[in-house]
Amino acid sequence: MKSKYILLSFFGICLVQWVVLSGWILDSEKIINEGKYFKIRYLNPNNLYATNTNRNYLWITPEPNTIEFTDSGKYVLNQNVYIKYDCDQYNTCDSYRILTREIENDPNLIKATVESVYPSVKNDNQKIYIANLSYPYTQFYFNGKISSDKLDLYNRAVTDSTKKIYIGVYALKGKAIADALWVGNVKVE
Amino acid sequence: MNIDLKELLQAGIVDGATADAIKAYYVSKKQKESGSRFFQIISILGIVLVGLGLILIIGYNWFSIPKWGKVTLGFLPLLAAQSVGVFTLIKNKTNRVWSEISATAILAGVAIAMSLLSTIYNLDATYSDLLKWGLLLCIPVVLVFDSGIASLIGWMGIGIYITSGTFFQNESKIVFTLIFVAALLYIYVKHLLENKIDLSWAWHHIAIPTVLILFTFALGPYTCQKIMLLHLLILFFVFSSLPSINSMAGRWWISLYNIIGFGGTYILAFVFSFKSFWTQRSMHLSENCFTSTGNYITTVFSIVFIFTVLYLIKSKSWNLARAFDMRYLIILLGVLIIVGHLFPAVSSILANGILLVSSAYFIKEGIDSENIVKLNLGIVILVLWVMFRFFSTDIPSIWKGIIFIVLGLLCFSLNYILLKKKKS
Repeated sequence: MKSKYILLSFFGICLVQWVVLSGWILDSEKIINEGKYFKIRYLNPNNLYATNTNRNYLWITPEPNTIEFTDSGKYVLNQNVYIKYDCDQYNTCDSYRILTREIENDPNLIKATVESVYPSVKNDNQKIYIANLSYPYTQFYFNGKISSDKLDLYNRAVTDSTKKIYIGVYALKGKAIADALWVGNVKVE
Repeated sequence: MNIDLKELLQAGIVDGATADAIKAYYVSKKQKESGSRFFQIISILGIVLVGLGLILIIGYNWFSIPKWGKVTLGFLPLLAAQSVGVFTLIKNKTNRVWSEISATAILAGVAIAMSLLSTIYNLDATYSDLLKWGLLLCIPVVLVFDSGIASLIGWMGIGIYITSGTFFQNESKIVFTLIFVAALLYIYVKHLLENKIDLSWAWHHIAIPTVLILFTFALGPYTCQKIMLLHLLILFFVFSSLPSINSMAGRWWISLYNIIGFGGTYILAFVFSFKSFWTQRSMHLSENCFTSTGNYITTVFSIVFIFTVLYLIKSKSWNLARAFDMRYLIILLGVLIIVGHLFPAVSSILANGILLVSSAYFIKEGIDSENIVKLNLGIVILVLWVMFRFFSTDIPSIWKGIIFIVLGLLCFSLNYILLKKKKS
C-alpha cells in the first residue's frame, strides 16, 4: 500500500515537472506571438567570437541602462520603472521616456527594476544620484548559425560609432524575450 | 570458507559429498557475480560513450535543428529518467543502486531541460531563479527515492543558490532557502536516527554545516553584523551540543560537527580579540540591529537556541558542573557581543583573556591527562594569539624574535616533559 502511494506521489511530481517546464514554453510562445517587437539600442556591445572567448551568448545592456537624477528619493532600490519607447515603422526605438507608473494597456512599455542607487558628482560639481536598471532580459543566446559576412558586419559595428547595434525584443505586459541582434536594419542572426 | 568446511567435515557435521556440493555452489556463484559485475561496468561504459557521442552529434548540428526539435531534445533526457524512475519504483524499490541512479538521472534531466529551454527561448530567468525552480522540482524526488547522492546534489544546489545573486535584496529567497533546508534536513535526520549512513550520506556531515554557515552569513545583511555573529554562535552551540545527545553519542561523524563548532568558535574569539573589530563602522550600527526587518530570523535562531538548551537540561545530557565546556565559551562570546556595544575596549580585553585562559587550560589539561593533542592545541592557541597581537600592536622586531624563541622553547619543552611523563 505504501509503495502504491509512493508511486502515485512520483507520478504527481513528474506531472508538476512537465507542467512547470511546459508553462515556460507556453509563456514564451505567448510573448513571441502576442507581444510587440522592439529594436532597442544595445549599449557597449561585445565582440562576437573574439579570440579566447568563442561564446555563443551576449550579456545585454539595453538603453537606458542608468538614470541620473537630483531628487534623492525619486528612485529607490527595487523600484519598478517603465520605459516607454518611441519607435519608427521598422520598430527601431531611438528615443524613450522613463515612467514611474505603468500606463494600462500601453503595449510600448518595458518594465525595468532599479538595481542600485549611488550618489555621484558631475563635472560642474553638481551632486546627482545614479540608478542602475535591470531588465527582464539579460542574456542573448544565438540559436542559429551566423554567416561570416554578418559576423564581420557586427564586429565592425562594435568599434564604429556611426553604426547602431540593436537588440530585437518581444515584449508583453512587462515581460520580454530577446530575439535577435541587429546592425541598423540588418538582422545578424 | 575452505577452512570452515574442513572444520565441519572433521567434526562430522557435513559429509564429503555435501562439502563438495557447497564448494561447487559458491565457486559457480562467484563466477556468475564476477561476470555480472564485469557486464555492469562494460554496460555503464557503453552507455556513457553512446551518450557522449549523441551529445557531440547533437551539439554539432544544434544550429541546424528547428526550434521544436531542440525543445523535444531538451525534454527527452527527463522523459527517459522519469521512465527509469517508474521502473525502479515498481520493480526495484529495495535496490539502492537503482534508486540512486533514478533520482540522480531525474535531477540531471530537469537540469538539462531547464538549461536548454533557457537558451532556446532566452528566458527571462537569472541563474538564481533557475536554481530555485530546479530545487523546487527536484527535492520531492530526493524524498521519494530516499537518495543520498541526489540529496547531496540538493545541498550543493542550496549552497550555490544562497551565494548567487543579491541575497539581501530578495526576501522570498530566504523563505525558499528555509523550505529547501527544512525538507532536506528532514530526510538527513531520518537517516541519522535510523543509523543508515553510507558513503553518500557521510558527505552530508560536511555539506550541511557548510551550507548552514553560508546561510547564516547570507542572512547577515538582513539583520546586522552583530546579530549575524550571534546567529553564528547559536549554530556552533548546536553543533557542539550534538555529542551530548544520547542517541547520537559515539557516532564517528559527530567529531566533524565538533571540529566545525570548535574551529568556528575560536575563529570568532580571535576576531573579537582585535580592538579594531569593535570600533569599525559596521559594528556601530547596533541601533539598526533591533529595528531591522529581519527580526523574525533572530526569533527563529533564538527558538533553536532555547529549544537546544531546554532539551539538553531536560535529558540531563549537559553536565553543567564540568569546568570547561565549549558551550560556556560560546555563551561568553555571545555576552561579549552585547557588552561590546557599550564598552568596545572591554570586549576586546575580555576576548584576549578568554583566549589566554583557554590556552592555559588546554596546556594544563594536556599535561595532567597526558594528552598530547590537548597540550598542542593549547600551544597552537597561544602561538596564534601572540602572532595576531604582533599585527595589532607596535612591538619592536627584537622583541618579536625573542618571543618566538621563547614560544618555540616552550613548545619543545612541554612536549618533552609530557613524553617523559608518559614513558615513566
